[in-house]
Amino acid sequence: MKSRVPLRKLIWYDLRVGTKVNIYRYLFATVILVFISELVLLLAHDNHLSLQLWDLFYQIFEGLPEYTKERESQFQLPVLLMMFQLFMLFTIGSYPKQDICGYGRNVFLESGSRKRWWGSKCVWLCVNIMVYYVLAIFILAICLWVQGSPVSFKVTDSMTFQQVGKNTVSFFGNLLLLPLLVSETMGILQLFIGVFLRPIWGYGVSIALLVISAYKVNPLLIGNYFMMARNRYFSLDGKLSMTEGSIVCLILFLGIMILGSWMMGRYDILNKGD
Amino acid sequence: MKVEVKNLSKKIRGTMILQDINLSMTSGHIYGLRGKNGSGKTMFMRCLCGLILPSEGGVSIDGAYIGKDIDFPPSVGVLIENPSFLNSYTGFQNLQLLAGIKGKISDEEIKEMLAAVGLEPEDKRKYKKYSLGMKQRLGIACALMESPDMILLDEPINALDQKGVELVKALLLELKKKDKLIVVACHDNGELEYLSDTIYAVENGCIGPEEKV
Repeated sequence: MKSRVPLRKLIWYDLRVGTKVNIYRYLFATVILVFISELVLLLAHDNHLSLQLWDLFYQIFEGLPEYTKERESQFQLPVLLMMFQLFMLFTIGSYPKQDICGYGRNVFLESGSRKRWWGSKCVWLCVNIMVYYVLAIFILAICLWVQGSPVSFKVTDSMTFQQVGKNTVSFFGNLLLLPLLVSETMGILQLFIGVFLRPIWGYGVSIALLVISAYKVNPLLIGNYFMMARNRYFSLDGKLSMTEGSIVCLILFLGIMILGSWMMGRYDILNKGD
Repeated sequence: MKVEVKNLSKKIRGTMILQDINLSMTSGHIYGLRGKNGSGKTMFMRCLCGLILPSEGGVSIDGAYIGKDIDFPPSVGVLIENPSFLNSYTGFQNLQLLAGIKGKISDEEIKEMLAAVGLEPEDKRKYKKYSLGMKQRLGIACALMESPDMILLDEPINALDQKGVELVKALLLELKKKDKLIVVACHDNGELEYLSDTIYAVENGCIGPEEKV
């Protein structure tokens, strides 16, 4: 007798329970996003800049130009970007691991398939990160509105950043989709380490990846693709493009997803201390 | 349903947890597992339901091997170690959420199951406010609610009062009559002997010869 549960039901369960379990994390992340938005607006005010929605978003993802090791140069971290990403990773938290070792163990058994369970967690992760981005844009818009600035989702010439190209699709691809794709890739890496090792290790690896990416430009250090200051579309000195970023991230994402699915088929579900 | 365990061994981080276990179980029987803490009862149950996979040998359910042909037994209800539920949901809400995944049973059936284990179906208290005994009863209700063909209960009468113990015993005997295959691990020899048709002694990961009760 086959008793497989449809994937959509598992996904629905994860969306429901994952949100329920992580609700305080989302609230905390919301507060941090408001803080980041206000910080950017304050800095803009100090510099007498009038920012629009995508200016604000750009400011968060601007990052830093390539670091060159010279006697007088000082290594800096892209603080806003790191805060944004770390709180996004914080919303993922330890839910998948908690789920499989606790309440979700029954669901795991009912799923009828280990790979299906893993697939559901991957979908949950993707949705979770997309929601975080939507939430961030929404909060940025609210903060602008509270300041009395007009809120528009259009791309205009009056924006504060430089674009090498003027194509709107490329603009959103570089500013929005590429960071989203990098976030999804970092998220699945954290999910993988969190489920098969420990959630805190996954978080540690994500932080390390962001720091190393800030220090060194390398196509495989995916944290680089977050930074618009290193992106050819926004900076003439930029070394990285959306195409290579998308390819690297997609390969990594799919690779980790497939490896996770394979490992889940062999993974023992034990309790802490076993 | 027929469960066959053949040459089952499990090693975790270099330690042999289960060693060369061979036995056979069929529907309509209650099998008891007796043994000290750490003897391997829980690990054996985990192998039976597919939570852990054998290092050698295997467990087959009606000829299909767990980890090869199937990931889990097709119809299994499990209470292994402490029950775990969502703290901010009531007992009913917790079971409703789980039952919604398969959609096999109605809200009424969930309420009947709660009543059968001695819980008040309309109780508005959240799970976090439950006593240990109530949590255990909810765990049992969760394992039994979808009327699975195979039921694995690890220390089901832990933390239960005498009335609760009697309820659970009656429920299990009723399920046995319905041709379910039930495996119970229990420290209480008297209760285990009362419930089980066959008892296996588990010691250092090995299972001794069966004792017919």
